[in-house]
Amino acid sequence: MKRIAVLVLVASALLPVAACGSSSGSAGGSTATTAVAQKGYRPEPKRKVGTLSLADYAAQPPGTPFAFKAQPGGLLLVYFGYLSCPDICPLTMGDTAAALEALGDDASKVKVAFATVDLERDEGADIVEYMTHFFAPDQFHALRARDEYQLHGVTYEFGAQWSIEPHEPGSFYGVAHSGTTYAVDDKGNVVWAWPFGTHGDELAAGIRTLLAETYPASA
Amino acid sequence: MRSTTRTRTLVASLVAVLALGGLAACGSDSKGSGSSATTTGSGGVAVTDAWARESAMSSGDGALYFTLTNGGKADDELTAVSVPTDLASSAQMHETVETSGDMSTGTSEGALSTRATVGLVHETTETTMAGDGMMTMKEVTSVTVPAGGTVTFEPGGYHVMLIELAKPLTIGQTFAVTLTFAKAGTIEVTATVRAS
Repeated sequence: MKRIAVLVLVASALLPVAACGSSSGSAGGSTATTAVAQKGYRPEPKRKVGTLSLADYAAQPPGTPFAFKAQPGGLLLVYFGYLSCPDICPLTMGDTAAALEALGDDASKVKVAFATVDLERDEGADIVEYMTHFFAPDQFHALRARDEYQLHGVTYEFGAQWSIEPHEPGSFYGVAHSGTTYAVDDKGNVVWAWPFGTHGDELAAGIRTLLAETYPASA
Repeated sequence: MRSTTRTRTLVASLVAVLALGGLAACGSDSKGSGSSATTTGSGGVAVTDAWARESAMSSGDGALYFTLTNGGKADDELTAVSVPTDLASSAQMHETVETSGDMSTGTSEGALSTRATVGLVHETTETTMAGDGMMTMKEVTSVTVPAGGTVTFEPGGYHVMLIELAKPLTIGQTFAVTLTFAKAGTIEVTATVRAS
């Protein structure tokens, strides 16, 4: 019976995919231009995040504010995670790195931002070390909020959730967080949200579609 | 709320398809493994494809995965997993679960009550925002391997968390893993570190 429980959990982990796929399908308009239905959803109403910023420890000097906007004609992929996450964060970063590799020349239009939700344990330099394991130095931003109020302000606008288990100072604690990868355009709009478990090839195909849809003139 | 109801209906109808999809994907991941040794315990349980992910950081925790196949006629239960203490200070069985975040629930109270129902922390002091569903890890004390069935520890599902690695795990490194089953007893396998 446990096996059935596992299957249900596997399915429920993918559940937002199904739910979102069906709702975007019934919503019609906004995703009708997508040739092949891709995993995830386009946030409606629009989520504007371009006026928000967090300190970027991959920038020079480290800690320079970074606004959530892609470079002109590009996409910024944003993930809210934490570094001592042994399972899903490295899986998602690995899939994202595989997607950039699969994109070939188009990879130069895409940057990846990892923002920690674990302000107690993760320092800016740690995020840089972590991202360097997956990406080339010019491919990523290593973001850390100065406090949880600033982090709330950012994650709320993205529609991401996070939760730190209450704990005694210095003792082990659990972290829960949205496993979603967000795509932001050069105007600072969230144009897509992929659920946890989106594979590298699916991400790459999705990024190609989004680049073509978001910047039709340059396609 | 409406989306939640629809979601539940979808779960019922899509469980099989999605679950198969997940397992198939995982199967293809496993093909890259150099470790294909099968070790079978006295109770008919076999442990295959034990692997751990290469460390991204110079310090921290790791994750260990494997496949359990029960060729016997009775269910068995994995009750403990251990690794040498010079590899990690301890090992815990975990399950990555998604808490049912509901985009239509705009209050943190809603999110809090959702969390309480899945058995996570329920203090009011935690900081929670509403939005896309959250993933978290839950410690599990045993995992049943049904007779004639397979349970896969895989990214996004069950994993063994290797707590406080003594050194970062590097590709190609191997280490001993001891699994204890209620019926099959102790099975030792060698895990290989790889990228994914």
